[in-house]
Amino acid sequence: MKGPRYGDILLPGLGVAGFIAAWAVVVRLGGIDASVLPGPLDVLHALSIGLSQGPLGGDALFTLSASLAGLALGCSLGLAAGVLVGGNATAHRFIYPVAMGVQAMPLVALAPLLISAFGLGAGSKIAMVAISCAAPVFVGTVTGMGSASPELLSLYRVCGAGRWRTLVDVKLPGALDYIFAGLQVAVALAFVSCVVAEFIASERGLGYRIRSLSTQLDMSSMFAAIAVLAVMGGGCGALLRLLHRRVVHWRHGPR
Amino acid sequence: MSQTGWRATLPPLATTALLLLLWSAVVRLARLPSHLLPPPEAVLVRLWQGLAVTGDMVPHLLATAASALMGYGVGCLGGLLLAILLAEFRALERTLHALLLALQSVPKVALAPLVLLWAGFGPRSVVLLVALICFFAVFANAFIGLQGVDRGLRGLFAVAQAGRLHRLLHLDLPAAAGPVFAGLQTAVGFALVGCVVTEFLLGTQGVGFLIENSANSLDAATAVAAMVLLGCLGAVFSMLVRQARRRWVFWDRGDAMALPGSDGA
Repeated sequence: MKGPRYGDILLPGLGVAGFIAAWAVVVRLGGIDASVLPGPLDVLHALSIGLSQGPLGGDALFTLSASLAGLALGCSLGLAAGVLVGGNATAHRFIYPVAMGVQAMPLVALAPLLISAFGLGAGSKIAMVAISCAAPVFVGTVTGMGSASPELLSLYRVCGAGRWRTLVDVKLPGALDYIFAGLQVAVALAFVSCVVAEFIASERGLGYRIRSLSTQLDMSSMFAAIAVLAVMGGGCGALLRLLHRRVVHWRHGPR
Repeated sequence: MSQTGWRATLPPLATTALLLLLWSAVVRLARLPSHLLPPPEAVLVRLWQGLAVTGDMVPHLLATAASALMGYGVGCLGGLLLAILLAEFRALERTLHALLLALQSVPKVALAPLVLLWAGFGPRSVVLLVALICFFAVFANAFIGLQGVDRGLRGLFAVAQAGRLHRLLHLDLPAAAGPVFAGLQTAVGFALVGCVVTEFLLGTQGVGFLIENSANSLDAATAVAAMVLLGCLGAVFSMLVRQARRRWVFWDRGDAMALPGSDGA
């Protein structure tokens, strides 16, 4: 492996810088109004104002906590159900195909119904996030539990290991890569479904803010809110990847 | 064949029937108001009525299907083309990859109000958002697939003086077909999500509008019936993609599992 070359840093930096410069130039020279396309400086300004004085910080906190609460609820449900179903061949035959079908549906479409059931507050957002997140974690867990090496399973059976022992020593560690893949999908879905629920009806949150700003044609603040959302989602995804590497240390090795 | 077929299809059917019975029983015993959760019979009746008797759901279904299909086609094609471009021209890849990764972490669905302001309050916005979502889903998968093409084989094609197009058609695309189809498969689900969310906000037509509008007027039977339609639409779309995969990627029968990290709807 060669050492880092200048091109590895220079070119990506050039890409990002070029994009921002082109954006600024187009807005400035094209005389485009900020209510159609704000320039990068307008967005930065809106971001700093929104975070320091405006409602952006509170909205971000609301969306973050609702997403994380729903994520925790949905993922633990999906994981528990996945372990139960993945460990039992009959349950697998009866339940797994149905769960696959449910996962294929755009569950976000449930948002209006959940809002009429759970109200305008955080409850309906948490429910929406939990429902969206449970499905991919469940499917990942079940798939992973089935991927344990047959030789290792036979070895455990021959040695008279019990079900619990086999689960903890063989099936779950073998399933971790799949579970983390499911969690990664769940994290991305969590923020999206929270924002969608906030679009429809809410009193707070980034989704609510983006929609209400769009009626005021305040594009700069909309861009700022979307950027905050992207950073939150990207940050949670990166944290999860880090955790994945730590937990499944035997596959990735020290880096 | 038919026996194993039955063994595979009967249990999930039994589970579905049991769930429907349970749903019906819960609604009845707990006396849930029908604007919260309608009994399954009511949903079925509404579905029959909306599709066959009055047909009031048909235009919404057609509008959603058309927008989803058009956006899916445009977005997937664009994503594949960009992936090919970046894989062919390495300098371009190194320049744009970081930027694309950053753009990819933006949840596209959150752009729906923005897209509505730019493209107007019409079906065009639905198509645009769906295309945007599908573009990134397919690009991410196709790019990784193209990166994984065997270098030895690429060298062989170069030695044999195969043209760029020839190599693309006979080596790169077939070799990357697995991940490309995984991307196409994920894009189906995303396309419907994008459709529904934009239609929520648009509020004129489409299944998303039907769900939002009927939930607002406490007509949960219609909303759930529209959900069922949406599920059927998704099932038909993904079946078509699976069929296409079976025909064109006949050598790889594995599950189309999307690569992690390609999921930022």
